[in-house]
Amino acid sequence: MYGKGIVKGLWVTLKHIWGTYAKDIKRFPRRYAPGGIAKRTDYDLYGLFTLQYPEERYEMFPRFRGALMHLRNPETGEPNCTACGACERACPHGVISLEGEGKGKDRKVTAYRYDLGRCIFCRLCVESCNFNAIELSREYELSRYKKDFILELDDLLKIGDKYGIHKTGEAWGVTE
Amino acid sequence: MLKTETITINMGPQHPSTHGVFRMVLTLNGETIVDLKPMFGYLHRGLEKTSESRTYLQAVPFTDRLDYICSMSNNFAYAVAVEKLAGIEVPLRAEYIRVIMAELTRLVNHMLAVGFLFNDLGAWYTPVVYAFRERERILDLFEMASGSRMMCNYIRPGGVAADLPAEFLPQLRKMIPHLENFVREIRFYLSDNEIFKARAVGVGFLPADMAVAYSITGPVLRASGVKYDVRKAEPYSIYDQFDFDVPTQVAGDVYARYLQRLDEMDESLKILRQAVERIPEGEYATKVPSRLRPPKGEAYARIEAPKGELGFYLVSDGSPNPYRWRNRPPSLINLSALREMCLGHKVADVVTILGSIDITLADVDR
Ligand code: SF4
Repeated sequence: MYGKGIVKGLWVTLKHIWGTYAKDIKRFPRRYAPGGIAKRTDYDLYGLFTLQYPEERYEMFPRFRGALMHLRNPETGEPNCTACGACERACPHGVISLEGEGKGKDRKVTAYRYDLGRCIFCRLCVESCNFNAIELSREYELSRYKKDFILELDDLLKIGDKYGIHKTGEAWGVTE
Repeated sequence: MLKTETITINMGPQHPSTHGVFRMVLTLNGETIVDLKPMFGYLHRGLEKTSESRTYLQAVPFTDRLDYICSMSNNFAYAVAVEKLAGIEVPLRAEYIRVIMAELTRLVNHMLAVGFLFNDLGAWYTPVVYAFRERERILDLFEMASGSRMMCNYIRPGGVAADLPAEFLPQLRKMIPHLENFVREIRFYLSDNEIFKARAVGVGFLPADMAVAYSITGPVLRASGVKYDVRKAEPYSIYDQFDFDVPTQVAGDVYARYLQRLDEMDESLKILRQAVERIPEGEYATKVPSRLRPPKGEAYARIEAPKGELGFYLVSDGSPNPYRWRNRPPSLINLSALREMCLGHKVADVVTILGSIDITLADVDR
């Protein structure tokens, strides 16, 4: 019978409209999630699904892989990095370059250059780190107006301070 | 008899329905196709050669970028190949996690394949949006486990990158009935839609013997009636412990390929149900050195990726870098039969047929 397909399609669409709006009618007329942060840990499978992005945004999962950050030692406030160069060797793209000075235990990082424009956020650098020095942050709005994609040590430490993490891999269940 | 002149036109490389940068040189007689030449390579990134100058671990993120829709399957195939080459044992929990991820990837891929097939037919975006919504939920699971929606880099040689987070399995258990419902709904409102049937039945016929001759694999092969699935033919990982069927169709046309994908989604959900129930506790990976030096030799491993047989051929000369890193992409080889499927059809059908083969240009060009 001709026209059956149209009726069925419209029926499904109607069902979806009903399923979406009947469930979340409470959020009318301002449909933003409370506080502008939509949580995804225990979301339901029906109801409003889309998100009004700049006004509301998702809370990123703890494992989310965003821009690199440097972690500080909570006692001294110094960066944990010892400039061993493991991340430099682990990176498949040559994103990281670093310099350090000192020998043995006193070795410290003096310059750390991270090219955000080339990073593919694979987390291999973090996995190679044995000193709790770096981790991937949950920073995801990374576009820039100018071509200043190269982040120096201070910028990376600033991101790290924002997240207040002192150990690598807490969210991943691997801390060493 | 009226004599007509053939005309040659380019379709693509910038065309909304070629699923990427892909050019077809069509020779037309009126609106009927008399010849078709696929031209690809616009997205060639030299991943094989690049990977040969990286270590075995560093090449894992590159495999994500082969077929960006099913990055988990690509990781999986590569991990199986490296393990075969270096003789690495994988813990049982890791195998279960891999199977769960691979089957979720199959669902994601088939959702998009079915959705975009309708998009190409002119059902502009409604089926795709329904498919995208369910896909997004699966991608949330991927993000929860691996930290990235599409470039997962999660399945590594030796196991997986990290154990599943605590919320993962409860969420997945909740989602399986929902996904089954989704497949049922698609069947209900699309499978016997007259417009779709008029455009799809009998279009793009690929006989079984020709499919075998062109080494077509995956849903396209099975839609032509050949019961071949690497998961059954040469079980890798722990697929021999699951109870599932290999669905086939007889018709071998666009409509059969569509039905085939829906059937495969049902089978994937069946596997997922079993895997979620039986997943054991334990280690998630064996320790593999980051500068792995496999013994001299070569290995070819293949898995049933959502689009077909995905294989990796690795040659080691004992150094940390692979001597040869070769990838057998399902999309490229499935695409090779495009001409045979299109001859004699109209221009509008080319779009449908291409959509029904389900290619990713990143996988074709590498
Ligand atoms: S995340 Fe990957 S690409 Fe980015 S700096 Fe680390 S190793 Fe390099």
